[in-house]
Amino acid sequence: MWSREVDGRVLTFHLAGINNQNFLMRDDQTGTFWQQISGRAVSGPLRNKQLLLVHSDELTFAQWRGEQPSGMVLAPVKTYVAEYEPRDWEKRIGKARTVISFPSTKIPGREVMLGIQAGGAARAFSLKRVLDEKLVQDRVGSTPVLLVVGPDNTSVRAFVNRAPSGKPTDFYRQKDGTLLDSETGTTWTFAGCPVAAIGTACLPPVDMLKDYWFDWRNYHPDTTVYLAKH
Amino acid sequence: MKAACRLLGLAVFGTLFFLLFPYWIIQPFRAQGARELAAALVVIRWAPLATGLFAAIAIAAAAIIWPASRWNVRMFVGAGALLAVAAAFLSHVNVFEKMFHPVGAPSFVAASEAGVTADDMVLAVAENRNSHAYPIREMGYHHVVNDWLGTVPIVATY
Repeated sequence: MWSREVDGRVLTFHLAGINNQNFLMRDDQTGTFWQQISGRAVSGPLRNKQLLLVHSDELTFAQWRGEQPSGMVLAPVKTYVAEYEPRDWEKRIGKARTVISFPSTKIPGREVMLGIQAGGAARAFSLKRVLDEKLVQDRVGSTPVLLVVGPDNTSVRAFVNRAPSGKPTDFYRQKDGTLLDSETGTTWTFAGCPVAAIGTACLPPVDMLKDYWFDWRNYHPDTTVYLAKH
Repeated sequence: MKAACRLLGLAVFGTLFFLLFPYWIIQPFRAQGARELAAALVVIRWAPLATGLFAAIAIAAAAIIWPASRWNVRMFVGAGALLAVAAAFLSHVNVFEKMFHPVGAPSFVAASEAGVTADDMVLAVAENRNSHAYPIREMGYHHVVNDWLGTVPIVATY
């Protein structure tokens, strides 16, 4: 998710090409090409400009609806609704051939990873692994992070591990998806906010990208991998 | 005459190069090198102008060759000029833009009217009092949604 304001001008994007299976967008206003994964202008008058990331989450509809009862949902576009992807389309894409690979990493190219850039480093977490562990307490560069699986056992969010004192602490995930911190015993919701602790700030969210390993690794050559065997 | 023939050949080659080179590089199941991709994107950006110029040259050259030629030469000359003009028109079309349909003016419904299954995934964004969800199944088709979150212009991509 990107802001589409660049130097005070609002741009409108469309899909206009592909670069090693990550798509290229083009803006109607200047004809500049932008890389989807990085938000960077790769060719054209705005070359090397960078779109600003807007924080977003990937959640189940039920989880989102519970948190945002008055939120609005993108309506299907009538002309194209018959062509929308079937529910299992990601399984199909998961089998498609990749054009680049990193065999030395031993990770399949289509492995779904949660990628985080923080604290001057990049780190990838296998989605499967995170869903198994339900709570991952780790570090990305200098930033202590928490990856938490929601009460639906499907949605995942990432936060900076920061107890009310400002220091990282040990968190525990309870069966209902809430967290408990060992410093104060405060309960935290899956949205990262304290339950009934007035004056305590929510945990700062960490931007996280769900991506195939080949694509993440291609754009983050120095990435480390959570629990990698080397 | 000879010069006009050479010019026609060059112009036809030029239009075809500007039209086809990017498609050759930007194939979905082919790896793209950084330099060749950069070259292809420059070619795409200049193609409408370049192919227009080449097509004009082709027509001018054909007009010089035509009157003094026999029918068999005329056939080649006519076909060449036609090819250049067709390529010039086609360079305005991007196949990717025809295949994929971004959402330019999205409309939204309340969650209760959305008809999305409880365990379907959505891409969610919230700022101040505005909260938008983009069902992944819709995003997997449109890929790009140009939206406003309150007063903030955003683009959702998937």
